[in-house]
Amino acid sequence: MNNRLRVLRAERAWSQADLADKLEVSRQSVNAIETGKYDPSLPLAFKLARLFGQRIEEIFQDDV
Amino acid sequence: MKSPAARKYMRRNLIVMSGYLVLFSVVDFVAYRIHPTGIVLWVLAALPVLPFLGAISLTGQYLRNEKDEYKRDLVVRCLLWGTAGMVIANLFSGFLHIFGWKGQFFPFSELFALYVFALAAKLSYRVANRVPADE
Repeated sequence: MNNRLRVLRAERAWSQADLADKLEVSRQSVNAIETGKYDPSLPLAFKLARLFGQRIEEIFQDDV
Repeated sequence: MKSPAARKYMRRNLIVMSGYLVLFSVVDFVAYRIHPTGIVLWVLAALPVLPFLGAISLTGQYLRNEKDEYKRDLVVRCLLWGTAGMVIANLFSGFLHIFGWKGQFFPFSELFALYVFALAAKLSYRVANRVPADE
């Protein structure tokens, strides 16, 4: 699954650590999601969507 | 950096494993002195197993309490690799005996395989998912 997390984060000038703090997860988690090594659960995806004020499908795109 | 759940898990696990060492030492001493047979032997052999049940229960608690789902996912994956190692060691030893091998591996070799596989998985995930410097 592709995502625009890095772009959205850069637009707000947030570091990975900043985003991790806001999500209450580790920086490893943010890095793993950004690099596509880990797909977040629905609750975490909703949390990200709320944080960036976007819909989940605007942040995450299916590979197909 | 360890999460609060991970710190709590490590602290409790240390207590449980210390309990295991004490219990094992006592049981070993008693077994050496009285040379138990029958039901007493079974009970004495079961006693040092109890801390391991405690450790498994603690792992379950940790997985329930860990808020970081990615870390939880990694722990589960490492445990699965550890379980795979234990099953492989057990099957390998079983096949060796079926095919006529009369030797014996050292005691708890399956448990050793669990730790080796879980640790190897942890290290490989750490290398594969290394986090670059923050931007």
